[in-house]
Order: sequence, then structure tokens, then C-alpha cells
Amino acid sequence: MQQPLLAAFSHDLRAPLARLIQASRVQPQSAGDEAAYRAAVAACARQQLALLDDLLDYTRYGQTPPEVVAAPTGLYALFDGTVREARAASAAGTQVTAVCDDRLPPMVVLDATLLRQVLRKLLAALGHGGDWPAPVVLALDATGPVSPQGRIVLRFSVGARAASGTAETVDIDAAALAAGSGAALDLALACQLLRAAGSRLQREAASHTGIGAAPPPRFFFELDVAVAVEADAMLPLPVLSSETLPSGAPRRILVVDTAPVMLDYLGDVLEHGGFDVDRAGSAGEALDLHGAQSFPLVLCGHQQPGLDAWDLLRRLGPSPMAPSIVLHALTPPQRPRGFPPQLDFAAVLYRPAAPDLLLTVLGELEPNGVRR
Amino acid sequence: MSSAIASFATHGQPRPRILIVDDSRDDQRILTELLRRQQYHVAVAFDGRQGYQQALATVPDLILLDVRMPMMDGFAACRLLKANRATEQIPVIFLTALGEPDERVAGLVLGGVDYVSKPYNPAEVFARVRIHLGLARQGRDAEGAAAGDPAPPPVHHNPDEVMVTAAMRLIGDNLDAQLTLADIARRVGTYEKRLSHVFRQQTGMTVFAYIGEERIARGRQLLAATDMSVLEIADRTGFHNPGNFSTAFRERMGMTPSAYRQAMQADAGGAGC
Repeated sequence: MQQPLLAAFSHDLRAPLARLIQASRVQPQSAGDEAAYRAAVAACARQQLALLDDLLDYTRYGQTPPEVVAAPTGLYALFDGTVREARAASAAGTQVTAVCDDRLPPMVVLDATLLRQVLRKLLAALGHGGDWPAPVVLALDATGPVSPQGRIVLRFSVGARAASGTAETVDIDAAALAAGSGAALDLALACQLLRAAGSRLQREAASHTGIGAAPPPRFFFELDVAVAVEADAMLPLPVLSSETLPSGAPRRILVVDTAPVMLDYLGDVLEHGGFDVDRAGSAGEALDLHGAQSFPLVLCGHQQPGLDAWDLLRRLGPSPMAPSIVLHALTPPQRPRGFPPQLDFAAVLYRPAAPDLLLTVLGELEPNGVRR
Repeated sequence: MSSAIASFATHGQPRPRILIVDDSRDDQRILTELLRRQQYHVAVAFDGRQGYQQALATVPDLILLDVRMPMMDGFAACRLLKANRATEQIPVIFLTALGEPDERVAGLVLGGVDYVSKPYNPAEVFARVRIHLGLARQGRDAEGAAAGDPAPPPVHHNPDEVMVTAAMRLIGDNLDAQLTLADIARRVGTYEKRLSHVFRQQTGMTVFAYIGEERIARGRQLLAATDMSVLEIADRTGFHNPGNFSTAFRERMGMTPSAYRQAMQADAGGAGC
């Protein structure tokens, strides 16, 4: 391992331990102090575990590059999940903004795990030492249209401002990492992962005048991927964390989707999460069911034969017993021209919504779109 | 969760016996408490040698085996367990530290059926314990049938349990097909909502989580025991394409199918030398 990288790693590994020793010398004055100490111990331990994982990965990938496993992936669901994760991971008060071109293909073939790892590492590099820039901007767009061979180049950027598209960039290479900033290990891992995926990490060329503090960095990378269709994709395993397991009385929900396999998946997750689920194979069938019995919540797929999700919203929305309608779509919804402005979906989830996210979002909704 | 476990007591079945072998008293206490609350009969040992001796004496239904222990580590204990006819059939789940893929591979190569990462997620521990107890029971039933075992098949008095067992067999026999919940329900004589409810109650898992686990388990079997390509295995296990199979396999096992096969082959090669 390069010396500056080793020094940075050594510092990161020692700092939490030093904090723990420091905290242990303070006599707790109250139950609150005791709880704070326990929380600090747990946070330090988690940080150490993450660092050890990084070190192991860095060493392993140095010998054998990670194997890239590409599969059809919902692009918007992946991006949305990453942004939510970034919001949860960033320091309190840090604004995380997502900028996503809504003309991107809904499904592409890529290694979603590797991509998430890269984005996590870049975010960690940005917020290293708790020094988060504000706001953090995650952006995704394409450098051009889909090629005749069905491929498209996706351009990702992670940084303190939105990408202008004209910024001059430079590769982040071994020499840049050898400068040994505290974020060097995160960036080194991102470089290794991207190299395995046939890409490279870049940063905005420095335009610092030398007056005042240097601007926070902005990172870029591109991925050349094949376009896919939803029928090729695999649904997530309906495995739930203990936090989202059922509690309280079951709540009724109507799930509307034309794909039987998606209906099964959603029904399976929601029933396990404590919902009382009814299923409809089309918006028309949903209207019939809702006429006979009212549902406080409706989860509706994007495409329906005859009537679509917007039609369902138009028909059910104005009634006094209007349900909260959540759209489960592959792409961001395009509001039809002249659609009543007072009507809207209570939430939008991108397909296929991960089990925990599905239950968290639906669990927060009451009838009429009110969040709990 | 009421589930499978409630039925052990109410339907006269013995409670499954689980042996936990771990030198960390804190870890052991947490696991013991979690499993006892689920009505499992739990015994404990503090190192590999003690664990092996206890397994010989009591033949538990499943062993949770820590890797790093003084005196005799988990790998050595597993080698002994798998070499002894009295204990070779007991499923062993390794308890490994996070971020140690080499440890996971080594454990699986030695005959462990699965691993659980520390620190524990209770829901994950329960799910894996349930799956492997169920698979071991199925294996014993199948072996008994193949050998023309004169012993009568287990009598199921509980209609829900019969339905779930039938659904599990149907799934196992049709892993390459895209069965819907309605298909499965119809073929075991019920309707979707009831099957879904009873399956969760009896096993603690959803039908699709079970199908996912079964597909990966079959994939592991084929990777280790055949020279079929990943494409063929993906097809046999109900995945649309090899990318989907590899992604699901890596998510579940922490390594790609090719890395898993290499590890298994390296072990077989080493054993032959």
C-alpha cells in the first residue's frame, strides 16, 4: 500500500479509538450521558468495521479486480435508492439534491451493486471527517442518445454543485491519490471498482484562484451500458428487515398491476408487512372493486390497458372517500396536459420498489395522502 | 412470531435441538436467548472440541458454529463432524465476522450449509435456521424413501402443515418454471391469500422468499457437483438470464457463482492430492 494512503488509513482507524478512550474518562452524570456513551461506542465500532472492510477490499482488488456481474436494472429505482441512502448517510442539515434526466431509458444492464458501492465511496469522500459540502448534488444524465446497437453512455456526477456539462475534468490516478487526503482510501476503492467496469474516475479540473478555501470537489464517471426491457429483470427477494415487520391492525390496500409476477411480489411483501391486500389486474378492475368496497390505499402500476394510472387518479381522486394513490412506475410520471392541478399521487415509487422502501413509504401514508 | 414453532408444541412434534458453539459468552447468550424465545431447544458449547463431543453425544438437529475459537476452531470441528457418520448429516451454519469472504468460502467448502455474519440480525438468523432445518428434514425423508425405508412416513395431523409441505415440494420440483402464487395455491387445493398466510405462519417466510432461497440452494448444488455452465444453471433454477442468477447468487452468498465453483473445485483438487 502507498505510504500516504497507509498514513490516512492509520489515522482513520486510530481516531475513533482515541475518541472512545477520551469518552471513557468522563464520568457519566446522568442516564442521558450513559446512553450517549453507548451510542458513541456503537458508532465508533461501526466506523472501524467499515474501515476494515475497505482495507480488505482494497487489498483484495489490488490482487484480483472485482468480478463485474451485470443484470437488467431499473435505472430510476437504483438512482432513487442511492439518493435516499445518501440522505440518510449525510450529516444532519446537509441538503442532498438529485438531478436526473427523465429521458433516460427505464432499464439498463449494469452491475447495480458495484455502482452503488462507487457512489457510496464518492459520497464518503465528499463528507470525509464530517465536513459535508452543502448542498450535495447527485446527477445522472446521458452523454448522447441510444445507439443503433441499443447502448447508451450514462454520466454520473457527485459533488457540491450541479454539473454544467462543460466543466473540464482530469483523471484521478495513483499520483493524485498519493497526495494522501483523508478520503484517499474511498477514492482508491472507487477507482478500482470503476476500472473493473471499464470506466475511470475523474474530477473537475482545479480552477481555484488561491484566494480563500478550495472549493469542494466534484467527481465524474461514465458507464457504457446496454438498454434492457422490464420483462428481463429480476424482482428483489422479498426479505424484510425486522424494523419493517408488521405491527398493529392490518390496513387494507388495493394493488393494481397488469403483470401477474409483479402482483405476486407486491402482495407477498405487503401481506408480510401487515397489510390486508386485494389485487386487481387492470385499472378497470380496480374501479369495479373500489366501487364495491372502499380502500384507503391504492398502489398502482404505470401502464394499464385502456385506463392508465392517471385515469384512475382522475376517477377516484375527487370522491369524499378518496384513497391515497401511490404510483409504482419505471420512469418519472409525466402529468397529462390539462390534468386537474389539485389531484396528485400521494407518492411515487420506482419499479421494482425494494421491500423495505415499499413498506416504509406506504406505512407513512394515511387516506387522502396525509403522511403519518 | 408464532409460526412453525408454535406447531412443534401443539402438534406433538419434538422441538428442534440447536447446538451453539461459540467462545464469546456475550454472543452465545444473545443467540441462546433469541432461539429459546422461538421455542427451540438450545444447548451450548464453548470451543470446537467441546462442541464436537456434545454433538456426538446428543446429535442436535442443527449446529451454529463460530469460526474463531481457542483450542479447536470451527473449521477443525466441522471437519470432524463431517467425517463422522453419526454427525455428518447435521447441518452446520458458520458464524463469521463481517467482511471475511475467504472465511465464508472455507466454511462452505468444508461442508457448512450456510453462514451468518456477526453482528447478528435476528430475523436473518431465524430465517436461515428454519430453512436448513426444513431442508435437512426433506433430505432425510427423501433418503428414507429412496432406501425403501420400512419406517412409516411422518404423519401430519395439521392440515396447514400438510399444505405447506406440499407447496414446498411443488416448488422444489418446478424451480425452473415461473410459478405464480395462484398456480401454487391451485395445485395444493387452496387460494392465494390463504396459502400466503399459512406459509408465513408455518415457516416465518413468504412464499417468494422461500422460492428465492431454494433457487440459490439448487444453484450451489449444481455449481459444486456438475460442470454445467452458469447459463444452464441459471435456466435450471428459474432465472431469466445468467446475469440475474449471478446477481442473486452474489447477493445471497457474498461471492459470484464462478468464485464459488472455483473454491469448490480447488478444495476437491486438494483433497485428491
